[in-house]
Amino acid sequence: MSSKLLEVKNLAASFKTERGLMKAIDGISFYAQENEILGIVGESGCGKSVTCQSVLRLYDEKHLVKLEGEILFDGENLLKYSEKEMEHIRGGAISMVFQDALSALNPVMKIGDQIVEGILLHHKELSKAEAKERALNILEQVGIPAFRERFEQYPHELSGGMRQRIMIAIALVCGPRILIADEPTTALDVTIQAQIMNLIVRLKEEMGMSVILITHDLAVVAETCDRVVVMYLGQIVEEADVKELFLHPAHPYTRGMMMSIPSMSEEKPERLYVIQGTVPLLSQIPSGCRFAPRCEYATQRCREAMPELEELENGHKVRCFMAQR
Amino acid sequence: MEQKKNQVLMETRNLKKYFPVEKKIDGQQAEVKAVNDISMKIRHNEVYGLVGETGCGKSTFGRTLLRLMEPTEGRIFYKGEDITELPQGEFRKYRQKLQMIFQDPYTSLNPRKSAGKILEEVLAVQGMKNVRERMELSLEILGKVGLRPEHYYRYPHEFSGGQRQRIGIARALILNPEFIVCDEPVSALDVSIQSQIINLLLELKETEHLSYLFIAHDISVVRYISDRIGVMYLGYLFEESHTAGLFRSPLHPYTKALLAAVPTIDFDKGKKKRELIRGELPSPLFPPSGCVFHTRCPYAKDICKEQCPDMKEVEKGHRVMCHLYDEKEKTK
Repeated sequence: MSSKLLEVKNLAASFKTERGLMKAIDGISFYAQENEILGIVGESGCGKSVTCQSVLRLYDEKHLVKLEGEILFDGENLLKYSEKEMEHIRGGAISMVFQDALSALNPVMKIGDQIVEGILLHHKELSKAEAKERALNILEQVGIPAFRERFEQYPHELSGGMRQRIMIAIALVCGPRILIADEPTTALDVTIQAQIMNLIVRLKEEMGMSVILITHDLAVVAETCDRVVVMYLGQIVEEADVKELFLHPAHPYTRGMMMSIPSMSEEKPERLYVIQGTVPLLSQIPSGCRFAPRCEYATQRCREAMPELEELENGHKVRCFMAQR
Repeated sequence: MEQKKNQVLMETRNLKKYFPVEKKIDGQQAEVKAVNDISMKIRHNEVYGLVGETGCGKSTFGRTLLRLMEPTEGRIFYKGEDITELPQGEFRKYRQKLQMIFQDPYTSLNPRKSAGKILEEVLAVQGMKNVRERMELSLEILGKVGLRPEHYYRYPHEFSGGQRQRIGIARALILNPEFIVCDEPVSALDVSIQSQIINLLLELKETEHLSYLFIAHDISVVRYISDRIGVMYLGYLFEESHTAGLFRSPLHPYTKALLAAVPTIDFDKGKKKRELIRGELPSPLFPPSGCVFHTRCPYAKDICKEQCPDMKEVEKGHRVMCHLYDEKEKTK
């Protein structure tokens, strides 16, 4: 397709918490291309949100102890940027949509003003009237009915789906090259989820941007993403094209997750597949392969040595001794 | 046993739950009709799934069924006995048989009580005085839901989400109930934990001879666990069918749209073209006239705007509330 627009290399982040030092992510490397949707999947606490917040440096500086690695955007390392320079990137070249639109929007500010504020921040040359014109355009583009009236309304006057459209409008109004969407449809009903995902796919086509979709929902990934990264306990365990991943999952964790969700089309099995145990705490990371304590194929070697993320073929990478053999 | 299986355990007839709101419409007290005229039956050892979007009234229905809220109108039957207006004191003995599991395992457990105390409290309320007996029973139940004896002394914050939900299940189970309303019991859980809890609920259904009303918005989960499914929209039960029938031939235009919106992992058929439902849920304060779905329905006719359709059985065990099937019933 095209070159790597964003490349994350060996990213590691540690945070200071009440329970001591937590290494939230460790050795994360992935890339995102133009005009593609990259899915990052994993369960709570796997570090998928931390990874993406790190790209925009949205973490809490107070608690961050160490951040290593590189985040290359167009070849430039964002971790070397000053805070001032980052302000141009955020909402400009790279923007983000959050899960909970109600708490992400300002409740005492009209929707239109919130969009205009974002435009004027990045385009000081525009007049207020020009910015308003642009804001109305984007509202129409994200499919807000009666958008001229909505412009004058407050967030609480809109439904959850509409609010998420507003969030997407704010994120897109400065024409970003990368959109990071962190669980954008998790709080929404399926019918609205389908509308919002269709919208994101359509806008990606129109604007040719790169989308990084963070989600725990494998079915959403299967339907919308081009490539997928699977995370477990702060590491990437598998990476592949979407079709390859679902047809030939290589990591036992990926396979286990796929088997444990009830299918919509197949016969119902007597019992659902279960991944034994629970995700360990970040303060109790197992030695060796991090998935070994829950893995039914784990051997002595898995419990002692950590497998590397290695390529099997055609960009399909996996972190597992069994699969690499 | 086979005979018992077909016996009706819970039944509602024209159940209604209206909430008054602080607003006047045309000089009249405004109401939200959260549950509107629902008649349904749940049989012994059956899982009845209830699906619908946020605000459709599915949780209110579950709570009204257990009389955690008093119905505005209509009747509730337990094993054929009308329990709608039993005074609370008399109703208490039925409470044992009718339990509930809540969605959020983080807020539905008292953070200042250990798991053991949470379970024993239930027994104490029901009048079990012997402390030793209470403890023994609690430990037994902990084992049944896959927890260990040492968990007895732990507090809710020491458990993971999945374990907390197990305590919620233990609390519902400890009085030997026959019927449990499960209100989104797995929505707050990660996928790998979700399947553990679903399997546990299915196992307990067999070993303890339970019936469930399983309320959830995740349609693939409901499809997996349910014997029959009801679809709700703006307080109405739009369609009801055996699970296989509902997925093979959904009748109501809303059900079709709802099922089409569910994302699937399916690469064989290529990218499917789906008909998405348009617009948004109307305000329940101002529901549309006639059939409440007509504003979003691609097949709406004139009659749909004027007259609310009746629920009718179109095929055996498959009921639908839609004017499109008016003819079908007449010829039957």
